[in-house]
Amino acid sequence: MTQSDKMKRREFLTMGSSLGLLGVAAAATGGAVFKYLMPVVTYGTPKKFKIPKSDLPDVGDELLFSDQKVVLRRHSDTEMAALSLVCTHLGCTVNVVETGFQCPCHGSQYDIKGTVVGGPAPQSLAWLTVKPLPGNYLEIDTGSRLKENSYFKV
Amino acid sequence: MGMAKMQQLKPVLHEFGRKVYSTVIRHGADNTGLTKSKIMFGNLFLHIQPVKVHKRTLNFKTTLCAGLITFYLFLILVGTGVLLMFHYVPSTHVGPDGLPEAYQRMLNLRSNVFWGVFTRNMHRWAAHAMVAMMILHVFRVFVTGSYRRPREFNWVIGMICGILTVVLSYTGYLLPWDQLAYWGVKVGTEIAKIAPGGEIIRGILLGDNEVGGEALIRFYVLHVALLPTLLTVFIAIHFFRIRKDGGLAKPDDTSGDKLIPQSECGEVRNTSVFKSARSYQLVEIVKGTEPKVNEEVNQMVFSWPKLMVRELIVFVLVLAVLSVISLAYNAPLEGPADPAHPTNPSKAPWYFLGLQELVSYHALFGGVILPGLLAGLLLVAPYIEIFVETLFGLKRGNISGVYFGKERLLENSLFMTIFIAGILFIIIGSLFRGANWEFVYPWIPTPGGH
Amino acid sequence: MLKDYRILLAACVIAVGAMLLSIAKLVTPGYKAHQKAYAKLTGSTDFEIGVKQINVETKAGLLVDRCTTCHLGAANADAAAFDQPLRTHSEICPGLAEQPHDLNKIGCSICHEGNGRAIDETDAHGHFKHWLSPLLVGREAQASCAKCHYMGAGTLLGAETYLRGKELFVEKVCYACHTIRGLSDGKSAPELTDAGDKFTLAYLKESIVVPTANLATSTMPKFNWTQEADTIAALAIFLKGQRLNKLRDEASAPIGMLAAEQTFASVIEPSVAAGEALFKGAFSGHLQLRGGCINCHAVKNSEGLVQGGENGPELTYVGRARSAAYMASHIRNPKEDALDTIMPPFRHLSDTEIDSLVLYLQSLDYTLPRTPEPTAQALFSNYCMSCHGQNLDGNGSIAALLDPLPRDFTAYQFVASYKDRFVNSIREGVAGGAMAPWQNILTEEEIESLVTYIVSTTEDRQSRFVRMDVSLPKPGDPERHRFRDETRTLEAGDITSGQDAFQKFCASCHGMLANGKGPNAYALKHPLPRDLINKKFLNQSSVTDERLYRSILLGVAGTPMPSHDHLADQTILDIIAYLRSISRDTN
Repeated sequence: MTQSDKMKRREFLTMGSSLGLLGVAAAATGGAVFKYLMPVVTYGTPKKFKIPKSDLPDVGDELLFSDQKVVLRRHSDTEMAALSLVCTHLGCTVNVVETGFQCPCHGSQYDIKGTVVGGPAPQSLAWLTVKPLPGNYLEIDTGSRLKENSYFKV
Repeated sequence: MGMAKMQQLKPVLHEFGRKVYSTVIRHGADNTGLTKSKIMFGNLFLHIQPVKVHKRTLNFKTTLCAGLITFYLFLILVGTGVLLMFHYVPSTHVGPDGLPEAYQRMLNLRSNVFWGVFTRNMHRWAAHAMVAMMILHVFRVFVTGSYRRPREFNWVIGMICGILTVVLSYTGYLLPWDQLAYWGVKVGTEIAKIAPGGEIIRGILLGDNEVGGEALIRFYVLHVALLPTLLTVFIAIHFFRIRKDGGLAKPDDTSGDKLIPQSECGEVRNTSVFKSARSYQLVEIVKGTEPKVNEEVNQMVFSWPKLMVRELIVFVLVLAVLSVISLAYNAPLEGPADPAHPTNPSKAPWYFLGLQELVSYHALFGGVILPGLLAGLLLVAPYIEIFVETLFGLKRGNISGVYFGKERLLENSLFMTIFIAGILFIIIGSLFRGANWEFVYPWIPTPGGH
Repeated sequence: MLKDYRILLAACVIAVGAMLLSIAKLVTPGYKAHQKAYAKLTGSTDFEIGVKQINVETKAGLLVDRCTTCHLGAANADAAAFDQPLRTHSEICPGLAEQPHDLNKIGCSICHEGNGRAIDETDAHGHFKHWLSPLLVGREAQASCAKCHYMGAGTLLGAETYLRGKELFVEKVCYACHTIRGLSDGKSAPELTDAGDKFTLAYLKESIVVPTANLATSTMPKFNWTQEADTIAALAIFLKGQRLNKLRDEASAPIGMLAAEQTFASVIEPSVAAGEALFKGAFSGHLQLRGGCINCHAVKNSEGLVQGGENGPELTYVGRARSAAYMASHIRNPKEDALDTIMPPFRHLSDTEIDSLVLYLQSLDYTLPRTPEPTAQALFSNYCMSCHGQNLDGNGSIAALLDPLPRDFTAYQFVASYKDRFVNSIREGVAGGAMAPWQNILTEEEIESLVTYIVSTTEDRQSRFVRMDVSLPKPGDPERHRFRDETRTLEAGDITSGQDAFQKFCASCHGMLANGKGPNAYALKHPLPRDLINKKFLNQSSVTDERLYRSILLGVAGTPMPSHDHLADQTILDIIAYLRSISRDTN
């Protein structure tokens, strides 16, 4: 290697590592900006909400959360169901009727377990994840979707 | 089989890759003058620069990098500013915790938003730095006489950029809607009242009789939409004129300057049949003058890579210094704006404190006539010089590009007097003024309540 | 080129380093450790690490509360034994089987303030400069009850400190000067209806203990109960609870409040006992009496035991010194008799209440024992010292808030010049101020011996001072200043020229309004410039035109009032005419 080749090599390495570092900076900035834009304070209704276990209804009774669009039903002494009231067609809030649920927007009908029995709805109402929290609380996740008849134990 | 297929495919892929590459970048990677030229003018961002520049351009001393740094700070401000806009609401609506929405958003940046503090710090300190660097740039251009022929008009464009910079900074000052912002802006608008017609300007700016929710929205729109657009346009004109006016001003004779040796500016391989590639010598047969004609051709070097690397160094240094400052010092945030409880003293942003200091002596003279006169004179400085030269039949030739040139003793003395006086007033207003605008020594702490 | 590349590399290292540092500071939030500890303590296996948020709907909008990100066990009864920040919240309403506040719904920052949106401890607790509502700890949080609960006359379980503060507001006579809508209507001091919105708890406490700490010109008394930490805390918590911007309106306010108007006890039959109760601001039955004179005024009982505050004159002798009518009018409207007093008017007191107070004051019968015959010094200590001071310098324990200030007798020039007036001043009092007539309490001999005592303290120096004697010129007399017109004679004083002359020569100290509050008055210590619109003072028989003439021409000996012999006699007569015109009793 000649003197000038050595020089060139050195120049290339220094320049290369500088550009590499700038690349790292750009990547880090990108990552930070991504986190910067992630929602931190949610001003709407939170996806998850907490209820004390003592609030749970008796067999046959139900507990309606109109803000969160959830209905809680007791199936048996040990089994509870948490059903979403968001219509699977276009997201309207379904009404609770005697036969089950009915959507006021396009007439989708669901039976008592949320299975579609009529109308344009493509799938049954969502069964929601319910998680026990420390201090005798339950947390209901309105963003979840379990398969049908996913009762939770109490 | 797969292996064999791959072997066959390899040259195809290679050729395909080369073709795709050539659609994006059309020059080679060698060291010929042709490639170096192509790199510069084949790229939108680089072709703002000329292919070849005078070696003086590469010296730090020539420009102090002030204009370039001002521009970089503008870029950083646009970047951080756009990020801040995602989290900001220009509203004075008071929430249940008694805090106005805009102020709450500042708290969100501080408390919740990832990187929020850093982003705001960068924006804040870059804004202050931009005004400071702009002033330094004006200083450099004046004392080197760089606004003389043929750059007179670009000086005016530059002054407009400077005014836009100050107004941008001032409109942004209000947005956090804290006490500092509110009273800083309030004091500024009180100064506007003194001027003839100031009430009208004030009305248009504030949209109300006082600084309030309407003013916040107007300042916001000015700050994020109108003024940045205007500044971008004027910066573009400014840069364009620099090229058209023949680059940086320089004295006729640069033989005394300590310039970078040719070998330091990147090797150039000449594959041409001609020994020189200065094609533009042909235009000398055309009638009329062109700024580039008088260049010392032997002192010109290719912009790529030397100038580009140096500009990159300046950018990264600006970024480094700003990041370190932003890590060490948080942008101020006082209590929420409260029109009923003025801070004492209420101080305008620092670049207006010289003005505020003058106003404290005499409202109309110090606040309007004197600064108005100075700003007006500064705006048309090159034309005043032309007028005086025409009046007395002076033929001074090219006396640009040298700091404090002997021929320009009068101009520079006048400028320096005003410049130093201005800086002194700003220092007095910032540091030596306490409650009730009384004279205080900054090193003696004043007793204060809450 | 290599040098350039190396500089570039160095710059890159700094820039990238700083940038990465700014990110690294943020990637491990402080709450993670608390959440892991909580998961471990509760044995929860699938605990989700992350920011916990409660959105509280209020009529003013959504309140974001993320305190439970760290205070995880606040609503968990099983977490009582955990260390902070994980511990269970103590009972808000002690003793109730079912706690009425659902912490999962209302969050923490509604009661405890601080910065609910923050997840960093310092930030969340509001312990940084300029933050207006730092964390309210423990009982301090009672200041927030009134955000939702409307409290009239009712009580609220768990808000005991707040309610005690409310009692104290009446007991400690704050109500007489400060307005809190629905409770008091004093006009002599800043309104406190929204004190909680404006001030922090620390600021309120400081302002009660040292009123001038936050407002240099405050004339609020320094009370003698400011050492009692509990009293100050309760008052400050009560004041912090005063807000205009409530989270609930009256109609949707939660239970636990009685919207009835605050009512106070009243006196039906005038009696000494009722007067004493009023004076001391005590309870009558379960209702509070709105009195509380004792916070400022002291009295001696029959044994000579002093009780009460040191912000106004001692009232042991006032029942004998002043008439019943004077006392009644002074309680109702103190400024009528003493223009510059800081005592607020007690207009809410009924006739029977005022009669009771007068009866009580008249019932005080302490006199310095006359056997054996007290020395002059003992007389001075008993009757004069609280105002005129132990050293006779006019800086007695209660002097600071009196206006005009008590006379300073260490100024020997004053004593030498005016000692002839002393007997009269003690006997008749000095109208328009706090000096009472003492002729009904002190014997002539005692007055004589007091004057002798006062004069004797500076006797050795009095001989050094001789005051000129001048007499009031009458219209027609020749002008003393003859530099303009040899033949000029004096005319009767002209009010308009007098006013001009006053603004020119007197206003810098006595003020444009002649109220003794000119710009230079703030540089003076003792005595302050005379308030010349104090009608009671100017219209008393001892303040003659001749006295005014002498005071203007020669100055007032031993005080900052300088001689004005540069003024023509005519000008002085004009000024006197002007002063007489503004202090003329129009009634």
